Amino acid sequence: MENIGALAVLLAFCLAIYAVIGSVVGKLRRNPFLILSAERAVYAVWFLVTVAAGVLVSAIMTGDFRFVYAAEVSNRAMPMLYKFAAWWGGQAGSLLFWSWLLSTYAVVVIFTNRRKHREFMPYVVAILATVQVFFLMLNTFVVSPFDMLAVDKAITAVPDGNGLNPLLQYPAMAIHPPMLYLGYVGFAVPFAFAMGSLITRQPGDGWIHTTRRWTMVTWLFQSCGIVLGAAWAYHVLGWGGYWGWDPVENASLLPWLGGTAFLHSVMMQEKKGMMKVWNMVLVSATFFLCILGTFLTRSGIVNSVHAFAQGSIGKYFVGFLAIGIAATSYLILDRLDYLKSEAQLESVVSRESSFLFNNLVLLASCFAVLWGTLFPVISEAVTNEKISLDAAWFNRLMIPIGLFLLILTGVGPLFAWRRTSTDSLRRNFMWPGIASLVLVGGLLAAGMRNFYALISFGFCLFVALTIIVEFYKGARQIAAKNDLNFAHAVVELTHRNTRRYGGYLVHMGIVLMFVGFTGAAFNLHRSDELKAGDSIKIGSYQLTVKDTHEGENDNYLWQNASVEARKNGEFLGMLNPEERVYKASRQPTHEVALRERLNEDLYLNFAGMNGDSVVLQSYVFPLVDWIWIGALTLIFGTLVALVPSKVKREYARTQVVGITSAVPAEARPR
Amino acid sequence: MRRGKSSFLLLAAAALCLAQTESQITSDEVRRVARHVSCQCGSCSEDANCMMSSGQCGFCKPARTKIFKMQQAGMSDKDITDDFMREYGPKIYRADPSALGWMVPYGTLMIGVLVVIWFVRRYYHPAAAPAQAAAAGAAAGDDALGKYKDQIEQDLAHLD
Amino acid sequence: MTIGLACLITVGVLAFILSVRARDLPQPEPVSPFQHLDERKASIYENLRDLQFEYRLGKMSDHDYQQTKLDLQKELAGVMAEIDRVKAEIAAGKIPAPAPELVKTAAAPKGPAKYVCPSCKAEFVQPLKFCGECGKPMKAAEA
Repeated sequence: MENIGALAVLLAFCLAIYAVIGSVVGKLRRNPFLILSAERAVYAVWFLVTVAAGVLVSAIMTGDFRFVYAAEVSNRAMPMLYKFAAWWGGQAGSLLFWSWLLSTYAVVVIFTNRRKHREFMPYVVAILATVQVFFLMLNTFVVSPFDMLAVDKAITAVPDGNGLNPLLQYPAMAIHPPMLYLGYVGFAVPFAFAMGSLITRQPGDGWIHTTRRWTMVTWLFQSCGIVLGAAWAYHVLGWGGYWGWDPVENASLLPWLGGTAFLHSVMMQEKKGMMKVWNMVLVSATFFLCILGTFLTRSGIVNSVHAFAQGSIGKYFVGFLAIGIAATSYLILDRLDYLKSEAQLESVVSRESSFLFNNLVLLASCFAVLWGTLFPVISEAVTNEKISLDAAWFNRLMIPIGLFLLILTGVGPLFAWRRTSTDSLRRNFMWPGIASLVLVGGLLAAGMRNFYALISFGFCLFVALTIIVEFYKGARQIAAKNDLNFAHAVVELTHRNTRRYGGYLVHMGIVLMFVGFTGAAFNLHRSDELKAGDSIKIGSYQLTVKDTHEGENDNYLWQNASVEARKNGEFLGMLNPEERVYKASRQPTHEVALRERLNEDLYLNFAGMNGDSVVLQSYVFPLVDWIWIGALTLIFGTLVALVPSKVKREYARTQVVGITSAVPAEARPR
Repeated sequence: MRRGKSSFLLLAAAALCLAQTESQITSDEVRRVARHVSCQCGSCSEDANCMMSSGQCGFCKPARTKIFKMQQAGMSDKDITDDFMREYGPKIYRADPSALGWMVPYGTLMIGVLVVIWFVRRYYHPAAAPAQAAAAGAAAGDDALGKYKDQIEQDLAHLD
Repeated sequence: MTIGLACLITVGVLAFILSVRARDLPQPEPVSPFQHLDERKASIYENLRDLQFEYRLGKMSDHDYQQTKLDLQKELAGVMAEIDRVKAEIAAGKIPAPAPELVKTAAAPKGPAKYVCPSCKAEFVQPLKFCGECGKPMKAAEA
């Protein structure tokens, strides 16, 4: 079977090259047969990659440990879910997964547009296929998942595999990589449409309308992926952090920030026809950040420049990025005239300006994260000395930028398009502003002295109020006009302009997440060795170790401690933090015990035994749950924004008889 | 069960051979030094989640215990890192980031602000605003508006 | 077995890609030369609607509202003028009309004219909601 798999990726690689050449030549020579044939090649690539993936997954599932990859990432005792997740658990498999997702996206794009956008679809196909060629090249020649274990020339098998990294054997972690990858890969589509439209100089901004939903869906996937990663880190890693600014996390945040900037700035183009060049730059930058993210996580460059130089895969990524960025820059520069802005700024104080600042800060934060991620590498390359950039360093760097972004979230929508007079500003700013000042004053009076926390809570309230006022005023208007009750009017209001009110919900989600982030300023932590019966106090909690238990199953050995938690003498319950040692990999993992409440989490980690003492790490994390609530709000808001608005564009479409298509010159059969 | 217990202890023993209490080796003083030591356990280079200053892997814990003991013996931060460098080679040392670390991002932000200000000045034409309504390139001033006024008003009535 | 399967996959895939017949070619959806202008118009109308709504909510001052509304209307007039210009160009034959054999939805231009605009008496070969000449509704003509 391994030969079938290897053949399938090789054949797919060749056909992807054919698809690139076929579409471009077919377009230039106006041969519809060649164009269609190239599109079919993309379908065929999908089929072949699916076959290859099927071979790999079935090898993992059935425990065929002749496969190097299966032996690396799976073992017999693993549950089925994680065996499937092992597909993307290692280098070779995850790159094959990338290829498979990309080909799936390409097939969906081609199928849904088989009769639309004929003018530039060949280029869209060519660009998607080019990216596909790159990844299939990696699959075929660089890190093949179909390598076999062999002694001399005889293929052999090991009795059992190493097993998936135990840290990854966690439900959220099984779906975290697919989510992120769906987001990473998905940005190839808006990018391809933008470039196709740029190459053929399409009038208007059709590519934006066509790819709006794509962009939002991929952005949603990225958001889900990032939050799942954070939730995983919080629940599994045992140190209670949800975000450690480690390079892999940063790599997922970069395209998200770029995509967020893009989602905002396309509105400028849709509403006013401005920023066309900028949007092209942003969509390309986001796409390349996705590739860069894959590169950072896959090449090992962030751990050490030397690891990068040794590994084979990094060079290819650098080459691809360099060529891609150069080609894109050339295209944009060459067609600057076509991208000329239509409109101008009527006033400095306007929504347009606020969007400019929003873009600036989003990109600045993206750059700061990128810089922080690469700084150790650059520094090592220049001074040959490793440096230590810990989360605290990143926090110092990012908190001011993050707070600025937060306040823009609230301020931006208060400005009107084109112009906003001081009178309008006063109406919108006064009450939320006063309320926030009152809150900050109250918190100061209550003894809170953390500067950033005060600012953050003030901003959060301000933004939340502006959003609530927006819903309230709109719903009141509709309720009065249509004689609806208030709740119904809110739904009606949202349904009338889902993009706008969905967007506000997303903003609300961000605010709630910031509330959760701010809680980190008040974290408590202690670490103790306790014998049965010993008690400690953390915050208002009293913890007493009762006893310990242990046992084993096929996959791992476990040991846990029973800890009694009391608050002000009142019994809250027993918590059982656990340590597991996985047999296949001999790696320990920690199942933390959590008491999650909206105000604060009590978080216990059993770090093992020292003699007959339990090593117990106890934490109190205030407000952490609001991060997850905020994330759910964000997801809900994005879904709302994806629903088509109820009010359709009602206007007279221009119709002229006899003119139905501007395209078909080359689509004409000969 | 009996066998489970003994094998568990065997496996766990590697990570837990220490005599210091946990709170002692995760104190701020120990972390301050541990930050300058990079973890050598091997698996960390793959998942990048190993936190030397609070991690629990087979390298981090003994290393922090060693740091703690050296501090107890009155050695300075530099002495301790020097000792690690003697043992593991100079590559283990991690320096503090230079000021460049935060100057570059904030410098870029400043440049970005300048670019935005330039952009606003470039495209801000309050006086020209009435004349630039010619969105699609056609010459359309007030007369054009007059010509289409009826239709626009008619369409506007349908908006709600 | 493996070799057979490999051959089967390869031949099947190649056959699928290379056997493109004339009737497989997709029928492109008709694209109006006004599409981008229509989209522009629609988005300006949407802006106007938003503006009106925000004004009613009391989010902006009278002066802002009137100014912005005027701007948007002017922009709209510009787009409409552009549409008329394109129309005139098509009438004058400057922009090539698309190939008739592909244009099934709109028969041959010289076909018998059945639909007449009640306002300007322009003739069309297919039923239209709005007149292609003067833009007025044509509902009455369909009856």
